[in-house]
Amino acid sequence: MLLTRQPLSRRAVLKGIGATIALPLLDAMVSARQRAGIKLVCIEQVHGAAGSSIFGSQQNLWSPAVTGRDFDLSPTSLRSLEPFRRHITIVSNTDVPSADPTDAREIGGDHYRSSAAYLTQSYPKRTAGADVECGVSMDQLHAQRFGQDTPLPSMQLCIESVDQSGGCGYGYSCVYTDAISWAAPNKPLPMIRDPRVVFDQMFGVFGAGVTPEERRARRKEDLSILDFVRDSARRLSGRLGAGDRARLADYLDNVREVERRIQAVEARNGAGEPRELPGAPPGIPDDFAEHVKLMIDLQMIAFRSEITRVFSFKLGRDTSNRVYPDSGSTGAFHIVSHHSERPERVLEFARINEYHVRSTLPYLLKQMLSTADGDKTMLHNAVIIYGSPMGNPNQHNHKRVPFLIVGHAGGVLRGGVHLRAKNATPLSNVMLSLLHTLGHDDLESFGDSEGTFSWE
Amino acid sequence: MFSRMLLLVVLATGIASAQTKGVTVDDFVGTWNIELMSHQIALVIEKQDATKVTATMMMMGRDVPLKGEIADKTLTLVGVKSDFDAVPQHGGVAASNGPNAKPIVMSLLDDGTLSGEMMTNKGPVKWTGEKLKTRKRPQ
Repeated sequence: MLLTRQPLSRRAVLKGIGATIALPLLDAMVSARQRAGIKLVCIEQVHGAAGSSIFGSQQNLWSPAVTGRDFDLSPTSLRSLEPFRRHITIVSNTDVPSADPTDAREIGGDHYRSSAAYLTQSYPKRTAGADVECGVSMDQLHAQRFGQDTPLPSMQLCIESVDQSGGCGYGYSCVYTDAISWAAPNKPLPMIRDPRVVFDQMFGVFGAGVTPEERRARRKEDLSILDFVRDSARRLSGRLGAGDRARLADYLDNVREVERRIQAVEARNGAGEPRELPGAPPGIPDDFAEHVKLMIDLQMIAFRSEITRVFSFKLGRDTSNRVYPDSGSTGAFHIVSHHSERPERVLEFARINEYHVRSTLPYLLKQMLSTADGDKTMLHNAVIIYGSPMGNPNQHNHKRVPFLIVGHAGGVLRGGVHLRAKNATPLSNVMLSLLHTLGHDDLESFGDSEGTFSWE
Repeated sequence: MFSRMLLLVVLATGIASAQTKGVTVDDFVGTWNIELMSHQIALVIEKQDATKVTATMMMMGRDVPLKGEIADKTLTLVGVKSDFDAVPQHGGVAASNGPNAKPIVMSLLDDGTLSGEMMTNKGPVKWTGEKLKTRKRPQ
C-alpha cells in the first residue's frame, strides 16, 4: 500500500555516512513494475562434462535419453534439478566450433581459449600480448541494452583465482581463460573472486564519500553496513505500508546475514590456522559450496535491489586440480577430467559434474522461486544458462557440449523440456534465439551463428 | 612427465595397415590434430613429390621436423634433426634419427582419420588424428 502521493523512485537508496544500500522492489515503486528487465545469469562449468564422452552419452551422464517432456534426470548430472524440472530447458547435442583450433599452432591450446569462446561464441585471436580479440559476450549484449538504468550494468564473479597475467600457454593471453564476459571484442572484463569485494562494490558504488578508507574503517570497527543507514531506514519505513515494511525488513536482514557470513569467513581465515586455499584473500571461503552459496546470496541481493540485472559466474579453471571431496571423488579435477575414456573414470568425473550442479543451481533456484517479482516469481522473469564451451574434456573437443537454460524469460520459455539439436548445430544458434527471448529481437546473428534455434 | 611422453611420440612403433584403397601422398597432406594420451599434438604434413613428404610435429611449443615416404598405403616419418637424440635422457629410448631410431608409422582409415600406435614410457599407445577443418576466421 502506498502511503504517500509520490511513488518511491526505483533508484531510492538508504544512505548513511560511508554506506549506501539499494532497496528491493517495493509496492511503493509503482512505475518500476512496468519496465523490469529480464534478469540474466550466465554460469560456466569449466572443462566439459562426462556426459559428452561416448560412454558418458551412452549412459546419459549429462543429458537425458528422452527428448520432450518425459525425460528422466536420474542417471544424469542434473538429477538435483528434479524438483525444478518444469523450469529447465535442456539443450543437447550442440557444438562450440569457435573454440576449435584454426591452425596448427592453436592445436592443444583449448584450455587457454575455451572460456573466452563460451559466452561470445567467437574465435579468440591467438596472442599473448595486449592485442587480445574475441567477441562481445551475450551477458554484455544484455547489459548494454537492458542494464544501463541499474547502478551496475553487470557483475562478473568467479570461484577460482583468475589473476594471472601475460601468456598462459600455447601463445594465448591469460585473459582468454580468466574472463568470460567481453564488453567489446578487445575488452574482457575482470572477474571478482572475493565476496567481500562484491559486497563492497554493491554497497559502495552510490553517492559521494564512500571511499576505500571509509570502507576499511567500517570493517575495522566490525560494524555492519546497516549501522550506517539505520536512521535512513527508519525514515523510509514510516512512509511505507505494512507489506513494504516487512519486505524492507526482510531484505535488510538478508543483507546483514550475508555480511555476517563474510565477516565470519574473514575471521576464520584470519585466525592463523592452515588453509585449504593458501594465499587466497581472507574473504574467500575454502569450501567450494560455501563460496558458491555466498556468491549466489550476493547475486540475489543485487537482483532484489536491482543493483544489476546481469551476472556472469565462472565456477573454476580448466586446469584446476582442486579436489571436491563432497562430490564423492577424491581425485584432482583436471586429472579426473582426463578420464582416458575408461568407464570407471568417466563415472568419477560425472560425480564432480553432478556436485557442481548440485552446489549451484538448486540453491539459486530455490531463492528465485521464493522471491516475488511483480505478480510472478523472480525465476519467471529470469534466465539462467549453465554450460561449458568444452564437450569431452579427455579429447579437448567442443562437440556435444553440456548446456541448459533455467527460467522462463518472462513467460517466453515454457521449460520442462529436453531439446536435442541436429548434429553440428552451433551453440551460438541457441544463444541467438535466447537473446531474442531476452528482448534483442533485432539481433540477426551472434558469434558464429548460422541461424536460430526452435524452442519447440 | 607429459613432455617426456610427447617426445616419445616420434618413437612410434605401431603399424596399422591402410584400409583405404588408392591412398596417395595427397591424402596425408594437411594439418592433423593428433590425440595422444588425452593431449593434442599438431602434425603438419607437406608434399615434396609423389611419394615423399616433410612434416612438422608441434608439441608443447616445440617443433619437431620430420621427413617421410609413403609405401604400401602407409606413411612413415622419421626425424631429421639431431636434437632428437636428447630423447634417451628422458625416456631411455633411442631417438628417431639415432642409431636405434624408430619411425612414426601411420595409416589413413576409411573415415578419413589417421591411426597409429606409439611406443611411450608406458608402453605402446594407440593414437588417432583428425584433419583440421579449414574455417573462416572472423574479420
